Amino acid sequence: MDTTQLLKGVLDAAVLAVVNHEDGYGYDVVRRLRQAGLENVADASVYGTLRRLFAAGALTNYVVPSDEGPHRKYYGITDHGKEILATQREEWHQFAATLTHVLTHEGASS
Amino acid sequence: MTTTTRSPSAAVRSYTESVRAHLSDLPPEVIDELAGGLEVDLEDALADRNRTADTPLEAFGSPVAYAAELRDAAGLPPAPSATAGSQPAGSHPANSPGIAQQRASFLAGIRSTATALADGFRQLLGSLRTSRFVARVSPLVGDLCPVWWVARGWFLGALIASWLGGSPGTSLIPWRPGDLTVMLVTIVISVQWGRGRWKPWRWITGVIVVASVIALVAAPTVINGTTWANAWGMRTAHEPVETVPRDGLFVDGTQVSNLFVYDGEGQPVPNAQIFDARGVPVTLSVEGSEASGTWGDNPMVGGQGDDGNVLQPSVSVEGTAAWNVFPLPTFRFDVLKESPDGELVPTTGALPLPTAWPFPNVPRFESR
Repeated sequence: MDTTQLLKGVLDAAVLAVVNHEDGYGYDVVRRLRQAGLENVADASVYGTLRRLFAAGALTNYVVPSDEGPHRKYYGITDHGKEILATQREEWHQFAATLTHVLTHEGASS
Repeated sequence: MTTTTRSPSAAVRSYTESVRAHLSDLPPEVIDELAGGLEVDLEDALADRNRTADTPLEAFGSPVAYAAELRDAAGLPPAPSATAGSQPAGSHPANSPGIAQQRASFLAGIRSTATALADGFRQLLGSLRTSRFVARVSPLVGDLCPVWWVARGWFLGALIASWLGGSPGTSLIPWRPGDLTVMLVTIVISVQWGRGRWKPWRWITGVIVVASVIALVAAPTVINGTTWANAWGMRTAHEPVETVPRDGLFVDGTQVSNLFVYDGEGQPVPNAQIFDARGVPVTLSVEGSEASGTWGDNPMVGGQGDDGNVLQPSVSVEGTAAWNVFPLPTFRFDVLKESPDGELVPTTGALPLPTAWPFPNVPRFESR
């Protein structure tokens, strides 16, 4: 199954969850998603998603100066983002349960 | 981890520049948000792969695809086609290069104005979206969007239809088939625009903004112009109705079906013959004294058709029918027959119903 396509629909929730756990900069979010098992996630998808969630008011951002190199733009979650995350989390659980049921049922009958 | 974030390599810089170039149609702050720290991120990503030999191209694919992915994930429209608008002026033969160039620069001016307008609009939207209040309200607004798309098309259609039709006013109601067609077309276009379709060029967004503003500004006028009386007036102006005064006598707006004459003593006068000042017999029929028994609009039908009674002309001693002799006799419908020339006439020997005088008698009057 093409997990890249599957991921597109739920990337918002995944990114929100990661940032909700701890603020992070662009690649940091990508890295944490990969470490969590989403190895196929595309860098550009995550950066685009961060930008869109920011524009939608779900994320805030701030610049952290760095001694070693360029400044980093960190993203943090807003209250609105938390609400979205809660909704999407619930929707995902319902969807996953439904699909699991469908797949199990189909598997048993065929 | 290696010393990755010191300074981006030339390869990474060139890669990110290429990505930015493919985002160049977007407002600068959007590009900055999308690709602001891209060099650092890419260096980190390359370092994580532990394959320093990897070029950015090998690691991340083509800059075009990368930029497209960024746009897609950010919910931004895809890049306009590379050829649109980039054709140098005069690259194709023209009969009159001067005019062609002027026209091209005029069009380019319009296009750039529209693009600037579109960018400004996007910026405004962007800043609105960051507002907490808007973020909460926006789902509702989003749900109502289709209503606005239809309304926008409707208003624009009404405007264009009245302009094309040379009507003095605008109407929300398309009375003419042409108006209906125009309005359907504008509604479809407006809805497609709303759905993000039918935007072949980026500057179309500017046109949409202008069209939306026009629709909003015109809305009160269009709605005001659509009182039912106006709408009816417009319709009758195109489909003139019969305005010639009809024959007959009207009291309180209702056509009089019969007359009852009383003399100076206040006593009923049967067979009273009535003429006007010119000596013309006064009749109450729609069709005049030659009134046929036509049912539809004939007020000669007594009792408004309820009891099936029919007024008939009085008949003189010579046997001629006269409609100006009152009260007109009333016959039951079932004693009537159709004459050879299509008129309803009483069957031979049929008697009229007793005259229903409104009063047995009325006050007396004396001549002055």
